Amino acid sequence: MSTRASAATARALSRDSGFVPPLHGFASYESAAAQFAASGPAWLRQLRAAGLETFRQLGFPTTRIEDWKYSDTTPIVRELFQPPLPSPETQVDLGLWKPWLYSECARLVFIQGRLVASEVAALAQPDQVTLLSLQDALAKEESYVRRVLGACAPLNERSFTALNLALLHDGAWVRVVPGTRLTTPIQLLFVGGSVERPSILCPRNLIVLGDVAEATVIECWIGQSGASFFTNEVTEVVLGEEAHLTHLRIVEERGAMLHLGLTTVQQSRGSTYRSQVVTFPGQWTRVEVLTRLEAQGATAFLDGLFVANDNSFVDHHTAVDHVHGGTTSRQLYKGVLDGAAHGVFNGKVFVRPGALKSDAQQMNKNLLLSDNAEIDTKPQLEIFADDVKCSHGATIGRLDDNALFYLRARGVPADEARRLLIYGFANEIVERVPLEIAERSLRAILQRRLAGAPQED
Amino acid sequence: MPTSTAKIEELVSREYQHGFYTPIEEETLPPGLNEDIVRLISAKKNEPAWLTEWRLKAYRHWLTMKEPTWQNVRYQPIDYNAIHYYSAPKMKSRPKSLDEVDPELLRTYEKLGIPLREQELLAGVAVDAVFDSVSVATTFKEKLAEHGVIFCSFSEAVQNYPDLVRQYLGTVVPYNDNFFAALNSAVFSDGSFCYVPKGVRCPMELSTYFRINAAKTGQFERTLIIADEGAYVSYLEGCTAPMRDENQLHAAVVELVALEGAEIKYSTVQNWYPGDKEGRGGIYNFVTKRGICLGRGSKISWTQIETGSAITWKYPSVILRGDDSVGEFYSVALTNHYQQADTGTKMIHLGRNTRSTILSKAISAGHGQNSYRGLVKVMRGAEHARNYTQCDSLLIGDRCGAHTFPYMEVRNSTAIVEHEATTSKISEEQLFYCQSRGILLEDAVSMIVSGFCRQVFQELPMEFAVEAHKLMGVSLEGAIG
Amino acid sequence: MSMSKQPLLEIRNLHVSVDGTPILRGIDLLIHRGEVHAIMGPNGSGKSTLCYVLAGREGYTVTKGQVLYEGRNLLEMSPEERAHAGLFLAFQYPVEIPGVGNMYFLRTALNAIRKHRGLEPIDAMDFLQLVREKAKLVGIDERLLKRSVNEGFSGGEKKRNEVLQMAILEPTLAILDETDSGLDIDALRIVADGVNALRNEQHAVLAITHYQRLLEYLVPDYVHVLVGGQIVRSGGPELAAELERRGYADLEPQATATLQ
Repeated sequence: MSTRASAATARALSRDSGFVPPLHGFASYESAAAQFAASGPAWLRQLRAAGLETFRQLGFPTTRIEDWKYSDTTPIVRELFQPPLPSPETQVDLGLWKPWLYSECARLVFIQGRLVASEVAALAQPDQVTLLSLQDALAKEESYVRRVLGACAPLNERSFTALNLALLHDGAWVRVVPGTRLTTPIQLLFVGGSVERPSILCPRNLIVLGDVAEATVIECWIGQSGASFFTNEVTEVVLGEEAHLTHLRIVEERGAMLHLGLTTVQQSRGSTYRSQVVTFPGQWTRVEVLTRLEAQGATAFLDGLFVANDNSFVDHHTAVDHVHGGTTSRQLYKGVLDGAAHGVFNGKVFVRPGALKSDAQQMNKNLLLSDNAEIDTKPQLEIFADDVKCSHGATIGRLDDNALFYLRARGVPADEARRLLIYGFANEIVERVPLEIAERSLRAILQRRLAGAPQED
Repeated sequence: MPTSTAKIEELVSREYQHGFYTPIEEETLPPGLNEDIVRLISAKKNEPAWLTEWRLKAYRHWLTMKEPTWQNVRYQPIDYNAIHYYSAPKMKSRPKSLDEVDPELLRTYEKLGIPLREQELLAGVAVDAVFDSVSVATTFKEKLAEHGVIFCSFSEAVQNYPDLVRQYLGTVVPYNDNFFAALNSAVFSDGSFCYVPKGVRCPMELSTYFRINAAKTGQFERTLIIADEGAYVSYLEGCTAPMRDENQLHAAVVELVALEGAEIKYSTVQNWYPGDKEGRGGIYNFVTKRGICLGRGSKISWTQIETGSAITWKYPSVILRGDDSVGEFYSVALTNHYQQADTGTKMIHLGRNTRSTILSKAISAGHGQNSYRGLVKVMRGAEHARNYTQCDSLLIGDRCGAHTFPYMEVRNSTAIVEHEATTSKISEEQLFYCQSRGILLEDAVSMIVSGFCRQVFQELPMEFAVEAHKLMGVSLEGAIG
Repeated sequence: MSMSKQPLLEIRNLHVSVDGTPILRGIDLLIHRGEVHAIMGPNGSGKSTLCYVLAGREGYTVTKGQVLYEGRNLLEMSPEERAHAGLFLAFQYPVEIPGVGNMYFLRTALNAIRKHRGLEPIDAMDFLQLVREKAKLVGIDERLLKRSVNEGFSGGEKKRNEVLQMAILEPTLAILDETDSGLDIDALRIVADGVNALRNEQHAVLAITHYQRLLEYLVPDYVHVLVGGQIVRSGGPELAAELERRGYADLEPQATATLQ
């Protein structure tokens, strides 16, 4: 027996029967895959086949896998989700989603995974940016798409990523040419669900910023009321040198809506990725953000806010991989849990051997508002270099009694004082949102969700 | 800059000082594990049938279990059939007094700095000396008996206090708790037993000194400490082993029970042989330690200084069942050369107003890998539970690693749980500042490392604190430079 | 300057680079026991570099020149040897050392130096008394003594702690690296008093400062002006007042090199 520790680099997930074979949904996934299998160029068909094969082998993750310890996938496994029925090309009335149509943005709107509107007239620099559905991008600039698709979201042990690939059909394609500072924000609005049958949606979005390019992309994920669906989305982001992306993602779902999101980011020298993920979950939501800081000066800011009540489950995963030295990351995730909600935060900071002068901070703060709510948090550091500055922290608590008392002593009724404080807790994230209209929209949702939060504006 | 980092590394590696072997005739059972071996161990200890059955139940369960793989350590598979499960110095019967103990054994403990003759001992410490699978001597038994305190080897307790043993054995760490605990339950050899009766403040520190001597032998001690209502006891353990090129397994179980208003303070200075500079040899230290605060207002405090072992896998934990009970965990873990440690604690809050504090200081040098893994769990009924956790890592050199895996699971909205962690290295500025005041580099490093560990050292009883400071200095040698 | 006895410190044509960039470009300086020298200069003129080179910090490459301390080659000595030999640098930014008690640190340093001087380690009671007495002198709250070295100290407290260390270690040559910066008038006076207390035939002081303020309380025997890595002018205390009035603007190294 010998005890070399040198191999103690990233731990591969234990395959120790931590996956369950795909049961219910599988046949429909197989047939869905068959439905898409024949479309697109050969390389894409091969990717889909590889995705399907990996998914067949892995099945669904169980809580025996460390990364899924707190995320029970039963609601996904037990439901028979089917790909959406091909809908007739009718005119879609976007008026239903009016609050979600952010003015001053260029926009793609997808309903049930299908592009229904492309509003690019707002673009101030239409020649500097390609904003298309993935299908159209394949037709217009296939070679670009081919270079990016799958490049930063590899399959390895990720069965849902494999499933996304197997069922890959459409999504958004955003490419900003080098040196362009895009002044028009881009909005991607995804509306899920039909009332006919529970559906599975597997969009794949690709965002590519050339060197010294700058952009703001806002993704909004919402559902048709009363619909049951499972979104299994993947977004791949590639940032050139000195590129800056501000990436806001809002998930507002309810009822029998399930959402699994994965964003993977590749960052070159001097690039900045600013991510804000705000979730108001339906039954089950898990959003992951993984970024690789691959060269000197790459910086990532990952913010998150989740507000959950009833019986919903919400899980936020982050992983910041300091591959190269001289890189910086800041994470702040805040959770508000009421009712019988179950929240999870799982954040990882990884500093590779030799990544000296890495600077990483991670913070997770949670408010538990009800005795039936539950939070599991797991901030992690894995450090393989000595000259680094890394810290993390997590807090779990309830509203500050002193603050509550102070407000009440000033005449604010208890309920309102409570909401005021919750609002204040969430505000630290909301006020960092890049676009005023998005910020207003978030405040409105917060007010709705917290029922009667104070009016602003 | 690199030169001083190199100097620091050189400073933190000195030779292991307790690596000698005592040539003594031992009786050793053949290697391998089966029901006969389990029965044989039980028979050697003249155990009652219920205990033999309990061992067998554990053994049968162990056969169905898999060695855990989730911990952040790497080692070659252990061949459980190549291990001797029992080895003891040859004695006709258990010596009645120290005069009957083999002088070679007494010399061994003297060499380790633990004289067993009472007049030579520090007045305030009673010692149980465990050599491979058996306890060879326990000091101050009579003096303790005057206060009603029972302190003896586990084997003796089975003979003399079977009811107490039967009442509490396996109540904190069940025989099927985990792979290594199940193995221990099947083959445990000796360890210490302590019972402090109602309202008694144990008049002296109790300590056990564990020594592995025989080759290819595993040590599977079992310790049980019970503090009855309002009692107080402070217990210390120390561990060393000879230097050998092959690895040796140590899989202990410690159970602590604190009844209403009782307090148990359990301190460990673990200095098993860590292996050589190339990572050859060393002890595999897979230990399950757990205490339960059964009664209201009880308190259990774990303090550990982990500098030895090739691999350390231990999570001294507290189940806070009684209302207003308190759990504490203070740890310094040092890994140098190719040592790996995955250590931390579990604080399970069940009762109201339960409080826990976790303070972990990890130092990695050479190729050492150090992981903190801790769970803070607040159950639904644990109104106003409170936890504060602080984990700091100090890295010396650029080939080592420091990892932090905290788990916080909270199901009560009145709980307050806080966790903080930092990672740092000994800065050039600090070293230069000390040097420019005339302090030698090695003293500066040891000063800074001790400063880093200070909050934990403060929790140790005085005698051990001095020992721990020295040990840190020794274990770090060679890591500076 | 008197040339009748061996200088305490002799700097000859000292050139120093940091990461390949020349910072000091030919410094000459003679300091004898009993003297107080002040070096003034604008930001970036190389003042702190000079301090660090004298104290022996890594990362500063001497490309040319010599530094003799009591006739010995100072540049060959380790930082602690320099400290043992009586050289003391009061840091501009004193370092925090968590967990290491201030008292413990001081005593370790004092005993290291005493050992070098052939003295026994100081008795615990004597040490306590010494520290109390000196702490009072420099106006340090005893609470600070119980804390870790510089941890959580305010800027002023850190500076006073440096002066306390100086008072206790009794260096032969004390180098003050902008010890006056960030201090209010009272603190400044205390620092100056602390330094003045050291002032006698056996000791020497080299005070580096940006402002003339300190020099009102700590009247130097000599003032040197460091600009662009060279001493461009030297003179008596009146030079400090002149600089305060006129600034450093017209003191370019090339233009004034001949003044040396």
